[in-house]
Parts: sequence; structure tokens; C-alpha cells
Amino acid sequence: MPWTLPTQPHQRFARNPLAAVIAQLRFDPILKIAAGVPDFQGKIRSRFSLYEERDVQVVEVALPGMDSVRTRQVREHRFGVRNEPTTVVLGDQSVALEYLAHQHRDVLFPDVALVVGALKSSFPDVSPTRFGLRYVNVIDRDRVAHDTGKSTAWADLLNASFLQMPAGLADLESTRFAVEIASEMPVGAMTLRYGLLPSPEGRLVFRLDVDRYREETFDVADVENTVQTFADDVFQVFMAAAGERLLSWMKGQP
Amino acid sequence: MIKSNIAALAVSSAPSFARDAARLQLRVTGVFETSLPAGIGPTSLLDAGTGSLTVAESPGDLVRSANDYVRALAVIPIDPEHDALVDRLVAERVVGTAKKRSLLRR
Repeated sequence: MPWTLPTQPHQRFARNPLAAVIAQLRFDPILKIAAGVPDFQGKIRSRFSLYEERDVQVVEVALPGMDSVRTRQVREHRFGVRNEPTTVVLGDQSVALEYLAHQHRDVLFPDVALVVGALKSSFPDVSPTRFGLRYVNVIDRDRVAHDTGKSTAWADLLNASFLQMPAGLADLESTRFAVEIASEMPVGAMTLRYGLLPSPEGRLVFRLDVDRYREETFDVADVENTVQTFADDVFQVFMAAAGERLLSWMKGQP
Repeated sequence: MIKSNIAALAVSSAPSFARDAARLQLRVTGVFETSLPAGIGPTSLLDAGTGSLTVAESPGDLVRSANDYVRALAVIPIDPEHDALVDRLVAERVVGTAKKRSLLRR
């Protein structure tokens, strides 16, 4: 088991640095997906009352060393929540739950159960190929400094090992860097990406991006349990990276 | 098992109930990772530009953003099919407001 995660008890915080949380189930193509959409919507409409269709043109290309290019048209069915940036995206090969203002797992888990239950009911023969749970944290030093009223260094916010430059070759004040670590778990695998990267406004922010997933054959009924296990794993990675000042800010402390 | 990387460029210009309403969307999804929502970029400096980009409505911003985006996607081979796709998207957005010019032949 290449990943060695700590086992801290789960905590709920008053605020968090999450920019996005995504739970995505991929499956073998269902050509009759559109025919099942009304039934699917009926099963999730109590929570996801908004709806739109989106036609997407997909160009699949290979990375260097491979030379295939493939294009296809996809119609996405999107279900939203009024006044909440949470969306269910249903396509012919995947269904995803996207949160742009994730609060806590007590919302995530029932939503996953609702959506997966609707999928199983509307498309009984769904054949899953991948399930992934991804948390993208954007840690903004300026925001924490503003909220706490304290001058804040990256070392106050993060474990030093997440900020280490090889052989001390660069400092952290004017350096951009990104690290990717991919390794296996007893079930599936996990990819951790982190680094100091420019925000859309051009300021440096620290991104901590954890993608926990499984790709072997599994039953769609397992997803409800799997998402809880994966959320625990992601939490352990976050807690290993978080520094004291960041945790204080998350607890709402000055 | 860790899978090899295959990227997918997804393009959509349909309206949305979300904050990206009435904007052109360019989206890259890798089959090796859980797909990111629109507006969330990749955690990467030089790797394949997986993630999403919502491009501004202004034609000038659109051309600049799309050009940056295509340049970032250095892994994508520039072939006539891609050239035509980008040209068509730009033309759809700038028609009547600016003279069309190929992004990839600048």
C-alpha cells in the first residue's frame, strides 16, 4: 500500500478553502440516456429542481507518444439547486456532482446516494468504469491574513514538507511550483497535486488537489460506501498538509 | 493501476443556469482524472492543460484567452480539424463585431 495516511478523527470546520468538490461516476456508454432523463429527474427533483441541456463537442486527443484524435458530440443534462452552486451533470458516459461551495460531507453523502440511486433506478444495467472523488483547495494567504489580522507566511499555513524546494534552490515569495504524486491504495488509487500557482487574478495561491478514485470493476451499489471511505482519505491528506494558522482560520478563530 | 493520460477538449457555447451563463466554454478533461467543473483550472504549470476555462464574452478577451488556452495545450497536435474548430468558434462569437482571423496562423 504505497500511500501511508494518518488516522485523525474527522472534524467539521466553520469555513474551508475548498474551491470545488467533485464526485464523478463514469460508466460504459448508454445510448438511450435521453430517454431516461425524465425518470432520472423525477427522482432527484426534490433537491435539484433546475434543469438545462448543453450540447458539447468533445475532441479527444492523445498525449505525446500517441497519435489518435477522436471527436464526438455529447448532450449534457444539468440539474441545479436554486441559490446554490451545486450541479448534477448527466451525460451518456458519466454522472457528476459538482460543488463550488462545499460545506460538509453531511450534504455530499446524501446527494451521492440520491444521484446514484436515481441512476440505478433509471438505467438498471449501468456498468460503472470509474468512480472518483476530488477536492480542490485554494489556500489564499492574503485572505487568511485579512481575516485573522495577522501577517501570514506560507509556513504558517502549511506543513513545511509541502513547501520544500529541492536543495533550497528557490524561495517561496516569487516561485511557482507544482507537484504531482500518484500511487495506489488498497482499493483504487489517489493522486495528490499541490503547489504555488497563480490565481485567475494573478496572485500566488497554494492549491491542494486530492483525487481519490477506483477504476477496477465494481458494482454501482458500492458507490455509497466508497464515497465515505474516499472522503476520509482525502481528509487525512488535507490534515497532513494543513498548518496551525490555516486550521485556526477554518475554525473561525482570529 | 495508474492509467495513462488521454486528454479531451470539450467545447460548448450553450447558455447555462450557472454563473457561466452566456459564455463560451472550453473544457479539457483527462480520462485519468476526475473531471473538473467549468471555471476550475488545473493544478499544473506545464503538464497537459486539463481543467476548464470560461472565456469572456468580449471578442478581444475571447481571442486572447483562446490563444493562451491553445498555446497551453501544447500536447494537442495542430491539425486542420482543430484549426477549423477554433476558427468556427471564434467566428460564431465575433461575427459582426470584428474581422475573423485564424488563431493558429497568427
